[in-house]
Amino acid sequence: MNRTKVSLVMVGHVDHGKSTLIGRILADTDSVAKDKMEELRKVSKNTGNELEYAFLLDHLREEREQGITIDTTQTFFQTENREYQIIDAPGHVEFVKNMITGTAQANSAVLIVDAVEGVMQQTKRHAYILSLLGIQDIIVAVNKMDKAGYSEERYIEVVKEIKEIFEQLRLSCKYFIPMSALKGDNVCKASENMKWYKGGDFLTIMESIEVKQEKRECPFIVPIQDVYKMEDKRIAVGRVECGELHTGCEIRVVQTEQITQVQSIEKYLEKRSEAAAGECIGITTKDAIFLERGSVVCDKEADVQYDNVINANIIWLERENVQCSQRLIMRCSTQETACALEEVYHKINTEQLTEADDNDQKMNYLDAGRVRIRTKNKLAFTRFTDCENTGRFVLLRNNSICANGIIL
Amino acid sequence: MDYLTELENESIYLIREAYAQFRDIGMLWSIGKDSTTLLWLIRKAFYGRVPFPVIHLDTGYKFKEIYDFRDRYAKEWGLNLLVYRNEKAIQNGISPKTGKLECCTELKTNALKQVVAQNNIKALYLGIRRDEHGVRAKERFFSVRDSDFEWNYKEQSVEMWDQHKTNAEENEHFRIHPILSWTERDIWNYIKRENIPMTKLYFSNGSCRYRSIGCETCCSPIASTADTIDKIIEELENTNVSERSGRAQDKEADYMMEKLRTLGYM
Repeated sequence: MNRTKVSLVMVGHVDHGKSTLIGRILADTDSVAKDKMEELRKVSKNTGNELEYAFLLDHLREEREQGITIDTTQTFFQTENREYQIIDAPGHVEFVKNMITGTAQANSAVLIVDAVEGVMQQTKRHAYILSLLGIQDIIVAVNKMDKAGYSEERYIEVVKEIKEIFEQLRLSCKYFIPMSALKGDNVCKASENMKWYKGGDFLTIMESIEVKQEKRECPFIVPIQDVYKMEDKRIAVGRVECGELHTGCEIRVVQTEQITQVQSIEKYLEKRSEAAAGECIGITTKDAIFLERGSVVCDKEADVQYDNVINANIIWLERENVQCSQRLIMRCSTQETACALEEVYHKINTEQLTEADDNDQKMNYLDAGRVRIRTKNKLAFTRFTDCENTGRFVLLRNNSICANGIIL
Repeated sequence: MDYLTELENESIYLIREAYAQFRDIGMLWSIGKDSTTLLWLIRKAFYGRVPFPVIHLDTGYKFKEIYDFRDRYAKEWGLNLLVYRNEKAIQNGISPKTGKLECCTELKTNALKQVVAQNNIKALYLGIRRDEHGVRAKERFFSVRDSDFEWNYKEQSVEMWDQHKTNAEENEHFRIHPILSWTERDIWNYIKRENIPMTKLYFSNGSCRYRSIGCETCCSPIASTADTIDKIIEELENTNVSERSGRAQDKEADYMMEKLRTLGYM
């Protein structure tokens, strides 16, 4: 049981075959229970279709009746060395919010493109979202090759189209695979129909994606989630977002500039003298200093800014647009404050990936752009590239998440 | 970080987030393996002291082993245990024989509605997992239920980067799902690693065992000789049958689970 975990999301335009590919992998690797497979045969027959692999994922009545994925879902399967969490994301423009919810949980992605249709609006938008979410390990699956006559020429054309987009978005991609998820070509075994393709099948390539490591080399940062009063002490709990800390090490509270030392690292029924990135811990401090939810505790050397002006890339997720100076709420790590957009520049139409020509200082549904945000209270933050969890945030309006962004 | 430790940290983070947002919170404990594992994680998150009520919805049809286990560990772990029965429905003769959908709705969902209302609960920790059922796979970590307990699965809120929707309207409540990402195998591997006590219903009596437990009337055991945790894990590595195949409410008719869940079922 020393398998590593890989979270992989399937994205791409509607009907390009995301759910079908997942269903196919599950079926071909014998990851579907016998009774579920029988259930699938039965329901597929009811809809008058052959085996609907997508039904292994699309469980809602509306999804099956309309043959689309509405909400993101997850499924699990294992190989000898890995535990896969496969996330299916809807491709329809109506459900971009659900797509983002699913994609934000992944560390790698598969972008699926229909070989006949080629790059479509949601292909572009999803590629943009991958870049915004900082997902760098991407496999491009050129699907439905059966319908394109298994033509190498067509495959090369589609790959060229995608490469142009990736270049524009500064996304890197090592893997391109021509496949037919429906027929099983190049999914779990090499295709007999595309002998011109010499790369590996999908499963083999999936097994070779690198697993992301926690950032341990940099100075540590711990945003405080809560403070628990125990009988004899107060424990401040939080997750180490990067770096490592140990008992006795010096810490700085970003908001108050107080400096003290870690008295103890608290984990239930464990004696710990150190903790590293990714761990949920509690700490007590040598001097009695005031900590509360939202306090950010870090190494003296950590490059954490404390400011009320933030430059970021955001995407707007609500139908109703937002204008500068409109009141929003920002949540960044465990902090929360009121804020407003101060300026919108480099607005991008995510459907075309072109710069919007209007500079009306508004953001419409699914617009992305570079913005300057002013917060009411100062915020402790980092750049996204320095520490992911303290370098990204969401915006809320009327208690709902309406945008997400990464700090530049 | 190994895979189980990663999952443990994810869950503890979610448990602490929910408690930071909602002090009027409770936990549903069915005494099964998932909610007992969740309870274990909660005890870890709060350093051994569970600072809210632990609720057991008693349908009256549970296995005797479940009641024994509940009473023993409620005492040992110092839990604020709240046992709740929908007495009115029980007196009205609701039972699995009168219809499973109605029985689950009355004795579980409606019992839950009553206990939430009476105790002014704003959020509930639940031990459901995505890999149990395709409909549960669509869940969010923080999932809102309206005053009728309905789950609007077509309009779920955005949830990302550990940021969740946390503001409910009056009469709404949140379901908090800290072990949503765990699989059945993860649960058993963790039970083994942490040595979490489990009711003996899960272990083979020589010829069969329960893989998923609920009411005695609606659960069937599977043929199995797995009488230790190691053997259970081995069995799961090789099985070709789904976890809840012995649970009646999952398949009595198409979309039964979806119907139950939109009505407020767990």
